[in-house]
Amino acid sequence: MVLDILMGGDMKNFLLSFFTIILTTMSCISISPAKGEIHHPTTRDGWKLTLEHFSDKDAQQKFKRKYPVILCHGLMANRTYYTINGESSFALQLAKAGYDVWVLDLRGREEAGPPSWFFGEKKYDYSIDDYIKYDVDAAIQYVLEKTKSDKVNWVGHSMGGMIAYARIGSYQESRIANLVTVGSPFSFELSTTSLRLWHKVGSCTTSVFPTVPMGSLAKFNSYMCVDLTPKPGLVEILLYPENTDKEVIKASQRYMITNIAKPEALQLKTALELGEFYSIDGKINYTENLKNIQIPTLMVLGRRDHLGFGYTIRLVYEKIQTKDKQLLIVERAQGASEDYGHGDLFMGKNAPKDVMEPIIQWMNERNKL
Amino acid sequence: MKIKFYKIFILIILLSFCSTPIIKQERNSSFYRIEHYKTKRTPKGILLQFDPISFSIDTLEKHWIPFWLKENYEVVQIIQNEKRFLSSQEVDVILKDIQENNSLSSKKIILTGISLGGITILDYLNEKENIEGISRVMVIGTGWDYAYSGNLFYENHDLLNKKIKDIKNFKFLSYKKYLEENYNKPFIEDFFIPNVSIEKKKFKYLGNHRLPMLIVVGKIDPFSPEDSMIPFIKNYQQCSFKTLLNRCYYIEASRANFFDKDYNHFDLFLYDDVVDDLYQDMNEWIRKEF
Repeated sequence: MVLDILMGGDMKNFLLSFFTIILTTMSCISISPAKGEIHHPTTRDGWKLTLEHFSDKDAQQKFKRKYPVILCHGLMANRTYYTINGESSFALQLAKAGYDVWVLDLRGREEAGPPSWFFGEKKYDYSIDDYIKYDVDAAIQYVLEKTKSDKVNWVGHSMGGMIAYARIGSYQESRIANLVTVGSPFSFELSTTSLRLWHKVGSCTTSVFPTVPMGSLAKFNSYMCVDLTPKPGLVEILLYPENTDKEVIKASQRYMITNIAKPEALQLKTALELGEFYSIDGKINYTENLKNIQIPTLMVLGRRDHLGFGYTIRLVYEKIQTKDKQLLIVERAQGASEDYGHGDLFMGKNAPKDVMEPIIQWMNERNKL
Repeated sequence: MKIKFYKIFILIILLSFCSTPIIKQERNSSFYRIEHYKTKRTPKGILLQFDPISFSIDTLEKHWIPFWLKENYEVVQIIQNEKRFLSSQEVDVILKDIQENNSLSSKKIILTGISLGGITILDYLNEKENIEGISRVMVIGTGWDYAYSGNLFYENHDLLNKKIKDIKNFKFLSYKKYLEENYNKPFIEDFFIPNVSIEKKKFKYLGNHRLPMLIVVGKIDPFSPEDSMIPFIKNYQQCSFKTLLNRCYYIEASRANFFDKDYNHFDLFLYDDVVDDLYQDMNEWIRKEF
């Protein structure tokens, strides 16, 4: 009636049809990430981070693990990566194994107040150096204060592992007792066609905007019944879809993918061009400083990973100096249910058994009181 | 009726031009046998292939050998009497034999390593200070240095020197089943895993050579993974990843490079569309002047 009064019949019908189509094409997601206790530490340069805390008091009493664990996500992602699978997510698996688990959101992620594109106090003007210099420091400091521990275990997926390599190798970080990196590259000499295309898209976007708006696009796509993602090869660089539940992929698009700040993209562009990973001012060669890493390190590689390639993980393996180093390759030939890609290392259908179980086993051996 | 016969006649003529008949000559020598696949026309070059060790030559007769014959390359296949890697002295004997028994210029000989048998060639490049009589090197499905934890051979010593059908390794059994479902079962059953060294390779003369080199790796190949090739690529003269598009070219057969699929070891030789998807790229590299 109101519509009839406000506009003519044709217009009303058009609008009703339009919204009906939109609503019927909107996709519902049945998965919701696991929820923990939220904390917001602040970095020395004034950014708020998010740490989500998971613990199982009974398991902690039973197993008595030596150090708490910080889980750090990769580029273009947030902490939901470790909680998206609900009960079978890595954060909860670790808590069940008796660890005090802290899942980190680096700066620029939504929970602690997202940056604005053009105006506002916080903008997309941070680089990977800021994660290394400020965010890792603030997260470790906060967890140590809360847990009364003197060291932490660090588990990083993709860039989450890279920033730990850089922090330990170039900043003499001594508060990390054990390091687990999962699909974390650190040398970029060989680039695939997909990676070069992503690189071009990133360069074009950042020439206009202060961010590569992957998060916004992924969120939009997650609401559509029709998948709008481009050429499959371009997406497979991020995860192997056959090994990941479709609902989890949708949920990750809605809750997990985030925008990339322009300086982050530029820093990676330089890494692709030079083959090695440098600070944005070119003064620190993080790759070269891998040799300073002396702590127990587990490197996990998915055989099908198109970002943390086998060759680059092998190079890290050769460069770090610790005697206690191990490379774990998740592939069918060694009993895994699938040859794992990049994102599916923690989100894959059988990730709890194929990936999480061996990691937890490795950590258990190094966390005895 | 006349028209139909006429059409059939034309078709037969066309087919006779398109198909390349396989002419195979065999010759025995001291520790090896040679199977020489010849073309009718004067060949553009010779692929001197070393024994794949892992599987029989029949496997290569499906796509690999017909493709190169069609492209007018002769294939000289070395088949060893024993399934093992050859020493550089033995490779020298074979090279001399081939050079003496062929009228083609040595500039046209392409040293080719197939599957795990290619390790013989990579070791030869490392061991020999000077290499003469070949124009370029090509390896496909070949690994080299397995001295790191995590890889199939390092973690599973019990796999070595066995046919897949004889492997009792519990973890490997599901993989065997997967392979059987995806490939020709008798071929898989006969697949032999040679005694691959997991010792660190010592570099000798890799940095000396300027021979153009093509390396083809399957993305999900656990037998010859990209990680095992890194020390070779890093140390081979002019073969850093930054110059790949020139003298030394590296093809990773993967979805990220817009191939049809992430290639397994067996896909490199048995995938139905491997000719259009992969071999054409290799042929383009061979036609390049350096």
